[in-house]
Amino acid sequence: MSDDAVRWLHRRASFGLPIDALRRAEAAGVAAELDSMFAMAQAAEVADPWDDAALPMDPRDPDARRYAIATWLSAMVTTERPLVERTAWMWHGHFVSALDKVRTARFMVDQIRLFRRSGLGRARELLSAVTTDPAMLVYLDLRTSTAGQPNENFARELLELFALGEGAYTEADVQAGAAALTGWTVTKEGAVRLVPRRHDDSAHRFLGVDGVHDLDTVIDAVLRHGSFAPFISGVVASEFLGSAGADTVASLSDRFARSDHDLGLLVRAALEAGIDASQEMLSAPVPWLVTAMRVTGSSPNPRQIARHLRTAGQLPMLPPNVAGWPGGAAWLASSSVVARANLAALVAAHTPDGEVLAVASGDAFDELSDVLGLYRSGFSDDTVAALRAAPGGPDRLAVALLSPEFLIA
Amino acid sequence: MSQSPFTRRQLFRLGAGGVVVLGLGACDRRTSDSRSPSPTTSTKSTTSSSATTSTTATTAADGRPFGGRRLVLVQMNGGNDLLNTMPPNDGRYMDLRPTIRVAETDRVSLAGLDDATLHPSLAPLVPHWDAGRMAIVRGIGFEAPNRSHFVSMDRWWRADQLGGPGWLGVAMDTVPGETPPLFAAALGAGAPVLAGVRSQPTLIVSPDSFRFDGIDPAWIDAMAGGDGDDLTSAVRHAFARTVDAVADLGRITAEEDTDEIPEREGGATIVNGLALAAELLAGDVGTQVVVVSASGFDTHAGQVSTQAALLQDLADGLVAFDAAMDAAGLADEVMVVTTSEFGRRAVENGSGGTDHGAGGLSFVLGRGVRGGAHGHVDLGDLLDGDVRPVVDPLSLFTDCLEWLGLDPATVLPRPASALGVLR
Repeated sequence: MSDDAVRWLHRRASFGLPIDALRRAEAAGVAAELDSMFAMAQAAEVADPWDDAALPMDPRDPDARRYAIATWLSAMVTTERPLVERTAWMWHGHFVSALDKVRTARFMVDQIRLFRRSGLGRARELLSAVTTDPAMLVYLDLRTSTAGQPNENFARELLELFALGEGAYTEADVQAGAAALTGWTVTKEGAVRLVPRRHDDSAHRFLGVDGVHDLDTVIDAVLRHGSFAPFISGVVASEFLGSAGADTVASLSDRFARSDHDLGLLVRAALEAGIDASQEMLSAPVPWLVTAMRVTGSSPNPRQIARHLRTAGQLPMLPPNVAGWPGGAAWLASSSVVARANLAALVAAHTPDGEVLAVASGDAFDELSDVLGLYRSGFSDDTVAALRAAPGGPDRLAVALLSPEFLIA
Repeated sequence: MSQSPFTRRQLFRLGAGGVVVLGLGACDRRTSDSRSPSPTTSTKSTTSSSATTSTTATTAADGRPFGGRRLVLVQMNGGNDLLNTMPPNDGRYMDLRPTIRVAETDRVSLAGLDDATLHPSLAPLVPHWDAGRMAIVRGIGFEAPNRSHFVSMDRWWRADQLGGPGWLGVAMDTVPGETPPLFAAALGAGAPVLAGVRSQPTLIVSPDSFRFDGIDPAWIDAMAGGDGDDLTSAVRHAFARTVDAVADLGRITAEEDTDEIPEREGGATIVNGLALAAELLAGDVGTQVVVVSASGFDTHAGQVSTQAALLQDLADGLVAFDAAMDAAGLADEVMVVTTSEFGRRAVENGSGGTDHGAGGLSFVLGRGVRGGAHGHVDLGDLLDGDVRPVVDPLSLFTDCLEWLGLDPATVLPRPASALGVLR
C-alpha cells in the first residue's frame, strides 16, 4: 500500500488526479496530501458552480433539471477542492432527496449546496438543516405533516436510514418523532416556515427522552442515541473503505462521538485508517466517470453523459429510492456494464491531445496504467490482451477506462 | 505480462472446439457455441441462444426447463395501498378515508365478490376476472409485519429471510448447466428476488440503452471470463454475461434513441416493462422468468391522482401483455403475479395520502390460473391500524414454484401450504 498510498487517497477521496498533479502529490507524500486536502476543503467559502438565473422556481422546467445535474458533475471534474464534492456526493446518497418527486431543480441544488457547505462540519448542524431543507420537506412529505394528522414518512426514514438504522427504534418513536416535526411548510419559492397552528408542540417520549416537542429536541435525542455514532461511522467507512471491520467502525465511532460529532474528523479518521489498510472497492458509476474525466481531461456532451448515467443506474439528483443507490453488486448488473462501456468510449473519444492520449496510442501498457493514476501493479494479462485488441488511441483508452483495474479502486 | 492475443476465456473456447458449455466457478454461465473467437469481430449478430442445456425432470419437449412454463412478476415498489385498490363494501372504509376514498359510484364491482370492489383504473381487468383467469389475494403479508420498506422488501425477495439469495434465484439455481443470458430478466430496475447462489438475472433498464455504442464488444469480451471469486473476477464475469445478453437482445429488438430524463426513476412504467417482457418471451432468446419493477406506490401524499395513474398503468400493461402472449401462442405457458412490499395504513393521513401499513394485495393472472378471491380484509380487526396480514406470501410463492414444476420444499426456507391459484 505504501507505494500506492497517494494514489489510493486520491482515487477514494478526490475523484483521482490528472497525472501532472498526481506526480506533484506523490513527491509531497501522503501525509502532506491529506493535510492539504482537508485544509483546502475547510478553508474559506467554496465557489458555487450554479447560476441561479438558470434555476427558476418552476417545478415543470426540464432544462433546469438538466442544468442542475450537468453543472454539479462538471464541478466535480474541475474542482480544486475535490473532498468537498466527494463528501457532498456521499451525503447526497445518504440524506436522500430526488428530483422526480422534488421537481423544482433549484430545491435540489440548494440541498447539494448544504452538503457542500456543511458536509464536513458538525453532524448536529447538518441533520438539523437537512430536516428543514426545502427539497427534503417535499421529498419526504414533512411539508404536509400537521398536528393531529402527522405524516410519518420523514420521521421513519430519519430513524431507519439517515441516523440510527433499523431495529434501533420502535413504532412509537416513529409516531412521536412525526408529531414533534409537524408544522413545517415550504412555499413554491423555497421559503421554509414553522406554522404554529399546524405544529404539535406537546411533549412526547422519543427514543427514551421525555419532553421532545420540536426540531431541536428531536435532533438532540437522535444525537444522544447510542446507535447514532456507530451508524454514521459505518456509513462513512463503507463509503471510503469498502467493507470495514467492526473494530475499525468502533474506533471511528468512538472518536466521532467524543468530537461532538465532527464529520470532518470522522472522514479524516476513516481515510487515515484506509491508508493503512482497506478493501478493494468497485467504484460507483459517478465517481468512476468523474475520475475518468479528470485523468483524461475529457468533457463530453452533458446530455449524452446523463443518458448513459441513467442506464448505469446512477444519475445524480435521481437516486432510485430513499435508501439511495444500492451499490456493490448492483454496479455489475448488465445495463450498468453496458452504460459504463459506452461512457468509457464517450470519454475516450473526447479526450484532448496530451500525455494520456499519446500513451494510449502506443503499446507501453505499464505507462498507460501509470498516467491514469492506477496502482503500480498495473494491468492484468487479460486486460493487456484486450488493450492490444483495440486499436491504439481513443479505442485503447476506452478499454483502459473500462478495465477492472480502473473500475476497482 | 503475457503477450498472448487471447484471453483465458477464449482459449477455453478454442481448446474445446467452441462447442461445450463451461463451468466457470461461482458464476457459471453459458458460453455460446457459434461466436467467433476472433477478438476483433463484433458479436452483435452472431450469438445463438437456443436453450439446449437443461435436463431437469420437468424439461419441456423443446428443451426448456420448468416444463416450458414462464413466470412474470410485477413489483409495485413503495407499498401499494390495498384499501383503495380494492375498496371494501364497508361503512368503516368511508370513515377511515374521508378525503381519499374511492367514491361508491366510481367503484367497479366483480361478479361473485360481495365484500369489495375494484378501483376504476382497474376496470380493464374485469374481463380477466369474468373469464376465471384472475385470482385476487387480499391481506397478503408476513406475520409480525415491519413497516420499513427495506425490511419488508427483503422478506418478499428472500422468502421471509433477511439476507441470502432471492427465492426465484434459488429456483433458477435448480436448473442444471448453463442458461441463456436472458433466461431471467430484471426489467426497469434490479431485482434481488432473481439473484440466486449461482444464478443472476440480466438487468435491462430499457431496451434502447442496451447496446454498445462506440466500443467493440469483442474488446470487452477479451477482458471477460476467468474463474476466481474475487472482485476482479466478478467484474470479468459481468462483462461476459453482458456481452452475450446484449447480442441476444439485439437480435429481437429495434434500436431507438432517447435522452429524456424520465419522470419515474427506480423503475420503468409497467406498460413499458411488460411490453419488453412480452418481446423477450416471444423472441426465442430463452427467457422464462421476468421481474418488472415499477416505483411510485409510496403514496404518503396526494395519493388519489398518483395511484389512479399507477393502477391505470398496471391495468393497461397487463391487458396488452395478455394480448401479446395470446398472439405469440404463449398464453397457456405464462403466469403473471403482482407484488408489493406492504399495504398502507387503514386511516388516511393529513397529506391526502397513507403511511406504511401491513396486509397488501396480489393479483395472479393467466390461462393456468384458477380465478377467484383469496384472503380477506376485516376493518373491524386491524393490526395497529393496518390491514391484518392473513395470507402468507410463501403460500403464493409455493403456487409459483409449482407452476414452474418445482418442489417448493427444495426452494423455500420453510413450508407453506399452497394458495391454490393454479388450475
